[in-house]
Amino acid sequence: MTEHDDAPPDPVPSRRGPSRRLVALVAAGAVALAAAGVTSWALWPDAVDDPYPDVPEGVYHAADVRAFDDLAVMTASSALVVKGTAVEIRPGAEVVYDDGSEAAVTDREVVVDVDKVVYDRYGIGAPETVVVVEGYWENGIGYTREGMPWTEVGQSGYFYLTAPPPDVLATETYAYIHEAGRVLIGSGSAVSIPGHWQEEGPWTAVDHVNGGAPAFETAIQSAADAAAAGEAVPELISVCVPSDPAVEDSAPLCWEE
Amino acid sequence: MTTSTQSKANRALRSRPMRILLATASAALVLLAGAAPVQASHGGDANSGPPDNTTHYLERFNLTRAASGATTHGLGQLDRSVMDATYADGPETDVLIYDAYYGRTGSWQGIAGRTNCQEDEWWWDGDCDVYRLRYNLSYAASYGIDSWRSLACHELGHTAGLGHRSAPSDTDNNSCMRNKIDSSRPRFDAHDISAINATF
Repeated sequence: MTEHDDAPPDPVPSRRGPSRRLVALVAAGAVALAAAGVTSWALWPDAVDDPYPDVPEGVYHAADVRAFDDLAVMTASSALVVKGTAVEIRPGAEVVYDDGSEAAVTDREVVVDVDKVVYDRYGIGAPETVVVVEGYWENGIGYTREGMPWTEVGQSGYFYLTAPPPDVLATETYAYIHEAGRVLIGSGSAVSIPGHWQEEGPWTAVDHVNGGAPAFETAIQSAADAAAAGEAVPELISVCVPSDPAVEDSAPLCWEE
Repeated sequence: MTTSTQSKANRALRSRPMRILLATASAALVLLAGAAPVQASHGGDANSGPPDNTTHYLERFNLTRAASGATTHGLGQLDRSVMDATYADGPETDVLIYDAYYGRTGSWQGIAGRTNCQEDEWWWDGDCDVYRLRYNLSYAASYGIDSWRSLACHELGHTAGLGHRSAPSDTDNNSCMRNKIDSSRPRFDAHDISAINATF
């Protein structure tokens, strides 16, 4: 018998806290829960993360079909040119690529509240809002075009939009006709255009150093007037579909639009 | 922690190797704790930096004849530099190459080709381990051979770490790395080759 065994019972409840066994059980449980959480996050990130994050973490490089040196030609080639403000960002259509990758891509849609229709190539009318596809999400990662930060809610400017002609393919969404087709105007008349717009393209003729936003707005309206008057001809591009939809390598059927 | 640092850390934590590492460690803990077993994941990373090394294995996924031939031309352009490009399939692939009629709306509007990094090496310096390259037949199917070559040269140039060239930086107008695909520019110019070589 030990000295401890001979000690009388403690007359008051113990203040030593929980037993070692209880502490060990709680710790083991916490570790198990944490490990399960980390495992779930690590193996199924989409189930844990926001599938449509607000900030793009990925960049993609794109090769353009078009290039514009003249603002009036870019205007005339656009289906719609509007002045407006981004009021909502939302996920749009999801497409699973049938190219062997099985990648599932979701369009990132920017809803623009239209203040003014600057140019209307097809006589679409004056919509209250337009939906612009700008970037995409894939596997919980947002992708933006190289040098083209995502438009955020509240940003305003001019949007040069395109879509297939309504008589060919009706669509409710637009895309920028070119990376130089988004002109965001910020505080202090600061102008933001993606790409090498100061070195080449339709904006080099604008006095962006001294003129600020008013110089751009004057140029935009002047080009729209020229396009509406037929002084600028739309740049057509060839688009194709396979002659046999089931055979990708079948002879293409192409046309200009 | 700054936004940039957070983003970098987030990218690093998202990467497949990191997830696999975490998954292995945490799965072991789960098993010790008597939890249910887990399964493997598929995912990608987002960074778009230069390649991790000069060895460049290209894998084609059922490309059309035009796309396949143009890719061979692009491969030859890469081999003019320090890059050692060749076709190979399997786990060591550095560039996954696809084509399809991706369409002419949404994020594909006006885009003949697109390249991004599928898996980057966050643990080293952010270089890209695996790229993903896509040709959009909705436009490219109308191309002649030199436009196809320009497109393939352009996209494979991105997989060698090249960015876009503007007109003032390509005064002799002979780089396939200009934004717009043009049949008159099917090759890298000397500046492009030097830029690739300077990466390593």
